[in-house]
Amino acid sequence: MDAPPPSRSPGPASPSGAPVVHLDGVRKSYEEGGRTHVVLDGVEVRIHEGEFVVLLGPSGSGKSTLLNLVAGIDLPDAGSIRIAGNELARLDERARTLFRRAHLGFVFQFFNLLPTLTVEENLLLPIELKGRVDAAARERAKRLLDRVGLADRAGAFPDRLSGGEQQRIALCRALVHEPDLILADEPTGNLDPDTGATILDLLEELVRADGRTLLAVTHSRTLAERADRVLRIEGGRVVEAPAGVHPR
Amino acid sequence: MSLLGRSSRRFLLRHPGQLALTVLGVALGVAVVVSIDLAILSSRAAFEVSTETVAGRATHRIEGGASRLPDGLIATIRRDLGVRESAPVVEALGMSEALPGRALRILGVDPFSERPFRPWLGGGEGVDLPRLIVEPGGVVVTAAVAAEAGWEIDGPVQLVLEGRRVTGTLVGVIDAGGELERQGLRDVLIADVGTAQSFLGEGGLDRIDLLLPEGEEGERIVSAIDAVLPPGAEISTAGARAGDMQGMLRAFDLNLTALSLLALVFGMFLIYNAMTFSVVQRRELLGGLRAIGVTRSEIFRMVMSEAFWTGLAGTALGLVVGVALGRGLVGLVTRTINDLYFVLSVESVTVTPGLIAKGAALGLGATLLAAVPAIREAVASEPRTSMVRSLGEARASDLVPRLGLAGVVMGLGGVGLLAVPTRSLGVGFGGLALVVLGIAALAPVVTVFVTRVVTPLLSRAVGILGTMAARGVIASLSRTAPAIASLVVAVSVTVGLGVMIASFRSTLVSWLDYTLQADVYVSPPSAVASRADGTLPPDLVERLSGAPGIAGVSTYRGEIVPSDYGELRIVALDLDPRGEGAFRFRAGDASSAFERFRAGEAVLVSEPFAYRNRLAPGDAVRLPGTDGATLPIAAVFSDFGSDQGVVMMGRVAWDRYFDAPGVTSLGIFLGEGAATDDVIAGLEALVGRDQSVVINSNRSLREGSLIVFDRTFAITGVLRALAFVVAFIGVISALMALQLERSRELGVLRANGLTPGQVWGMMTAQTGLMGAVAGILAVPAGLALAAVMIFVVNKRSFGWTLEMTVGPEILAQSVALALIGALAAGVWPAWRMSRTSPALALRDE
Repeated sequence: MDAPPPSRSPGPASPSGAPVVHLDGVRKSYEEGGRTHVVLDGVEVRIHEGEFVVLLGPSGSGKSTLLNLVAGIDLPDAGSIRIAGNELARLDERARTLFRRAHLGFVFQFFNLLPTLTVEENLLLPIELKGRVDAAARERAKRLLDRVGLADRAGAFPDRLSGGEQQRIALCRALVHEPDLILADEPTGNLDPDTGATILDLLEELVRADGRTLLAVTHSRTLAERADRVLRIEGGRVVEAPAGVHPR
Repeated sequence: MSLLGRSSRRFLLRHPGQLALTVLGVALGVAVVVSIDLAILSSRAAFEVSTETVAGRATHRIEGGASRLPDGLIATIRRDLGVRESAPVVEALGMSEALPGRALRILGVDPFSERPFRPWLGGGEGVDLPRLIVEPGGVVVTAAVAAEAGWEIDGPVQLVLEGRRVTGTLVGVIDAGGELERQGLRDVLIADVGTAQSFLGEGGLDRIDLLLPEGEEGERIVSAIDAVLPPGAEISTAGARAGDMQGMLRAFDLNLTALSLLALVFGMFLIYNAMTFSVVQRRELLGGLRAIGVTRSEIFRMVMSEAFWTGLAGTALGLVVGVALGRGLVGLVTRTINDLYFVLSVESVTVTPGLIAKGAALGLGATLLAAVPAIREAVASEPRTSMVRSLGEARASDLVPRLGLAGVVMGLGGVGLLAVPTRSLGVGFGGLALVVLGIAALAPVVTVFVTRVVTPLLSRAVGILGTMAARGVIASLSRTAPAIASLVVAVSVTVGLGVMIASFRSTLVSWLDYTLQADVYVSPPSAVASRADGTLPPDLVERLSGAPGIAGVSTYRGEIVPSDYGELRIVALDLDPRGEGAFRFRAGDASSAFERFRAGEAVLVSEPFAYRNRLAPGDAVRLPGTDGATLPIAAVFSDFGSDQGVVMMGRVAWDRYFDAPGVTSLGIFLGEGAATDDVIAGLEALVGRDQSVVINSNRSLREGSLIVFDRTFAITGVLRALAFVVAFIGVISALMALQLERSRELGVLRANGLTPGQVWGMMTAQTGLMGAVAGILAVPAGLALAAVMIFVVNKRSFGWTLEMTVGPEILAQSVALALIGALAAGVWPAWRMSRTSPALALRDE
């Protein structure tokens, strides 16, 4: 077993109210070829409402594992994960799914838009899952499309759009149902630098404008430079990135 | 419609090929089941209509067994017992050149007694009842029959009845009234009792129909009638005889139904392939949906409704095709019933709500069942794992040993079921189904094993492409294994049925060799191919027996009579010593059997009769129509002439128990040096102008028997071909799925310089390997199936013991069939894969 020593990652510089993301002593390991490989051990994280947080780390360090744990897709071996006041370990699988539906928005590296739904329908899906699609919801979707400059493509299917356009739609889909927390997994990992920069501009603009909370997992320094805080996974622990990694 | 539902519907419509294959799989399966059901139902309905129309409203009937009832009996019943509602009937089968290929039922009745029984006769405006009685040879038929035959009122009606050429006069046409009666009277010809007797050249009645009150009064009359019946005559309810006759078809119907269900199983392979692929294709998408909060039950509903709607479309198509196919199959089924059992004319097919409901339930049930693995996979989609492309294959590989174990367990379970000491055909088919499923479940483990053995050989022969082709089979096991399994089942069924039919045919040929001992056979023309009806005119028998060139004659007299054992064929044999070799005994002492048989002290029974009734030498057979007389069984002989069974007795015993003189057919042994053709020509010259008989040489009778055999199995051939077509489409669908799944990998290969020809070669090697694996597995599977069908299904269905004959060609045939099938199925997918554009494939992500 190659478990790292327990560590404590710092909370926000200036906490305000209860954190949206609250991880306490989280440990996660996997069985691999008869050996137990500890990926995360004693992870402590606090993210408060309206924060824009980026998680950095080399490949295989456990970034995606942490994102899965925060999303309730996976459960920790030990420790507590509270998101928007919900203790995820206490929820069963169905309740965690309904929790994601209600509280989280996702931005994936490969966009994951439904190819069989139009742009507008892709946006309306999270709303429909959460409840009924009413006129206000349609208006919200339309406004978001307008903000990302794709209002004229509402009736198009995703396969008619470029990668950058698809990711813009994915951003809108993550925000349209007004989630408490947006999780982004390498949102620019599949885009060229110029398009990636545009996407990051939009991401930051949309998240900050609505006062949303964001946790993004990335290798991208450019994204880290826009964050309020940057966390780093080192040897299974989450640490605050040293000063200078990000400008704020 | 919800957005998820809309997305799901658009997915189906965007993959028309996949959708078409799923719909086709369901449709083919449903169509085969429905068509077979329709053929069976229609023949049964035709049987019922014809029985009910001809039998009329009679509640009871008096029959004489092998003997005819005396003419005076009707007077006794009417006058002495006061049973007014009683009608005498003389019934015989005949033919007319005006209606070629059709058997006519001649019904001799007393027109004035008919009104309570067959009102359509008394009430017809076109029937002049007094004239029907008075006019010599007067007959009536329905207007439809008259039109078909070209018979006109007052014109002649020429018939051949039990070897006699007779001419009657059409004195009227029956207004059949309803459609059912019109159908029931198709091929029925009505005459007065006296006319019918004169046609047949003998007096007596075949039966008396009775309309008795229910309850105690009815029972009292039955007892009173019973007391005045002559020896051998019996009174029974009208339904009993029809039930006996329908019972004859039970095993035949069940075998057909089992074959049709097999086609449904093949259809399920197609559905499984298409449904699983549609889920595999959307694995990432489903993972994404799960991540954004779509629950498992929502995914379940989505995929389930896809299965439901495609199943519904396939079922609807299958019902339409099935009804159309059924119209064709009904002819094949009816011909077999006519060849083997009794005369039946099916004019229309009967589509009942029950038939449609059964087809729909099977189609939808099979679709949902075949979709279960796909639905489970979809429901199990984990958001976390949605990005891992190879996970499905990892799961498939993990399943291999478990599936192999399940295969062994199912196979052993099947063998165990087959070994259960029961005669239930249902248990037999259950065992057979388990063996087939067990073999199919073993396909993946055998595939892995064979591929591992073959990989180094292919690698040495073709290089890295050979290695890739071989490993590709294992790498995509979730696609290749079901395709191989369906091919194994199809080929093993084809081989199994082939071996069974070949074994049956060779057993039959050898049986005909020793059964047909005489050189020439003479019999009246018969409506049922497998046996003669009626009797030959006695003067003709005398003339033929004394013809020049003849050294000896065996005579044969047969009747089918209702008995405690159901419909029973009893036969009187006056055997020439040269004909003793015609019997191969399966049980009993051969040396004493003939002696006791000739002396009329014992009977010989056929193997199906002994099997069905659990009788053995020494047991007694109750002779029908003899007031309870019994004769012991001297021996059990092999017989493939009738699956209902035959009881044979010496002529001495026959004449002792039955008042039924005459012979049905003659077996003539030629003297030394006599030429068969010359003797036949001589015999034909002795047949009077007013007589019609069939004179066959040994060889032509043998050939005729084999033609009937081949005709009987024609329907099996159709189903075999259909099973193979479905499996073939299954392989194509699996390979097409493989192509879509591997388009990126193939694109990479093409980008790295693999030519389209090399890709084609690689994919063809892969399909060839799949075919070879299927072929190897299909050999033992096919032989096992054949053994089960020969020793269990045939025995339990028909009571026959067949000798299994497996030619050396079966191994090659099986492997070749699988190999050619797989290669042929792979041509188009391989061509499409070879045309994969590297740019398109790489842009796929």
